[in-house]
Amino acid sequence: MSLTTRLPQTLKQVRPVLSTDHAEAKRRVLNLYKIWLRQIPYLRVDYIKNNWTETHLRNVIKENFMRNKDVTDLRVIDLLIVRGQMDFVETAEIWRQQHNTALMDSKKDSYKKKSTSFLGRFYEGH
Amino acid sequence: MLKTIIRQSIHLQPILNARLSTSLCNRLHTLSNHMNVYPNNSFWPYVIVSRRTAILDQHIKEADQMRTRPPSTPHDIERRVLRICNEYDKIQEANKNNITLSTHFMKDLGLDSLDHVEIIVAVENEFGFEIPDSDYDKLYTIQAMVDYLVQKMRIV
Repeated sequence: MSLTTRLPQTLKQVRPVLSTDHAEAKRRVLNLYKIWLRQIPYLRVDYIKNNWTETHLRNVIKENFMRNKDVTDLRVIDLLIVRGQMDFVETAEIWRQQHNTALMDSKKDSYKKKSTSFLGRFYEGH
Repeated sequence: MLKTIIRQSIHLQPILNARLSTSLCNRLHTLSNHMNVYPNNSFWPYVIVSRRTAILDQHIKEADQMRTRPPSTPHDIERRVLRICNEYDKIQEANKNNITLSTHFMKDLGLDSLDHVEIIVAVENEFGFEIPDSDYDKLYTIQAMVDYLVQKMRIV
């Protein structure tokens, strides 16, 4: 018989990082989104040099959340939530520098796309 | 507040020896020359009365501001929720005028759960109280949201 049928049940589950199922992870994600949204007026004031508008901040926050929308692994989701919350605390407590925050720039154009054609990959090294 | 108003309106008889502050005295000096100003800064009754009415007016104004708003009807709540939805920029323009009570956020308007959270935050800001996380999945249609708000605001 194959290995998976002979594995005892206790070995099949991985130890969770934060949440035990997807519903709880979803709740955490929505909570994180909510606190980022509530922080928007304070962000505009604390980082006033950047002249962010509310719609710009909303779009950037939404985009940052949507970038990870296809993740299905529960522990990865939890780690992303934790990282997002750490980011939030750093931003809220102004541990960043005002002029140095590219955090709220739209990152749509700055990602290097993976090349799909054979020659593209060849030039890059694989 | 009401007691103060009643008390002061009952005792409107003149008090001849009231003392006003010196700055007020000086200002009143310049206002009219025929004021009978005694050397110890006491005035005739009509000045006292006018100052009392000023205080009374101030009390009435404060009481008016502290008066609770008339209880809003469900129709009023519905109107405010619809206004919030109409101001939300992620909803397509074509759908905006078709938003009715039975509009489902996800199915009819094509929003996802993050947008739903945004709308709920806007509603929280509008009505002034916080909606707990466990109630988020009850509020998927506008009708459900209006009912929920009515229930919450009547209880409070």
